[in-house]
Amino acid sequence: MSEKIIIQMEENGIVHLKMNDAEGKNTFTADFVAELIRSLEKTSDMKPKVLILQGLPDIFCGGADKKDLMDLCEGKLAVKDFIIQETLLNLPFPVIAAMEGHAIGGGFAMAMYSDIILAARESRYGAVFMQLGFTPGMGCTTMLSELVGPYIASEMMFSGKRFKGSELAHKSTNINYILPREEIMPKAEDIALQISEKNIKSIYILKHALSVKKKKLLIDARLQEDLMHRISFAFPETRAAIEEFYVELD
Amino acid sequence: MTKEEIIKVIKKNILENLEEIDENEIDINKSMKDYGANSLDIIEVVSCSMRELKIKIPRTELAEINTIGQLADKFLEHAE
Repeated sequence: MSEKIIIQMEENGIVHLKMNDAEGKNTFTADFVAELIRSLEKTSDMKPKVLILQGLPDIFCGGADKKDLMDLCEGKLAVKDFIIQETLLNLPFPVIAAMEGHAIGGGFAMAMYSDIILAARESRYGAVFMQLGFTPGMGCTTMLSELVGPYIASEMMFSGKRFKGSELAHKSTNINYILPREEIMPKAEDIALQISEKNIKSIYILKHALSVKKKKLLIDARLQEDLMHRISFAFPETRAAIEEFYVELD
Repeated sequence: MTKEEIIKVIKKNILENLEEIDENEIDINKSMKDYGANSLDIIEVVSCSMRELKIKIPRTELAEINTIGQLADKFLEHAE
């Protein structure tokens, strides 16, 4: 059995889902996405009261995989988003995104589909899409403003800058907690524990009601983002921008 | 533009992007990693510094650099 995703259910109804692909840096490779979706569906069957979504200490989720982006440019892959967003949104219980490490692009977008969000002062968070030459996806065009406010969302998307958690802490975003990395998991556990004391039937009803707005926003996003991607992935400059983006510096 | 001016800009951006360091403790013969920078911090320091110095160097050309001093030398090559 693969260790890319680890699920752990506690007796009190708290389930942990850890993205654990150190080798792939928790990027959306085909295998990783398939296993993530399978795992999320599996947690649904466990009927937990709350899910804590976590990543590696230094990387929560790296977002898109370079190979997929290149395939998109070449038209080998249809311009389609992953169904991670829908799977997360359709979970009948609340999700706490405990982002100890960096969350980049689609990885950061995952936070938008969670209910309660924690970020680390030391890590970086960014909607980097435009740095790679194409327009934002994963629902960012309608939903990022819900998370960080409309003007900060615009700056994040137009500049592609990866903001340090400590920098976001000074801005009035809707991120619940921005804490030193070592305090993220204890805080997430504490919130989960409070939820776990509630009646599961009422938790599920509330989750259903609170998800309605996000589901509508995601439908709106898909309509425009799919078209924007079809256009912007075809720009000749996009390939070079993707190549440049994935060069690492020491 | 002198190397000293370039180092000043790089140091300023290191201080802005990393927490709890003192300017006097930055040794240009060391890597930013020695001061707790992660890979994304380094990219941010490099891009902020290049914008400020009005130079543009492809990342592939920067990939082999290991110390702050080497980065300043590379910037100097590209500076007017």
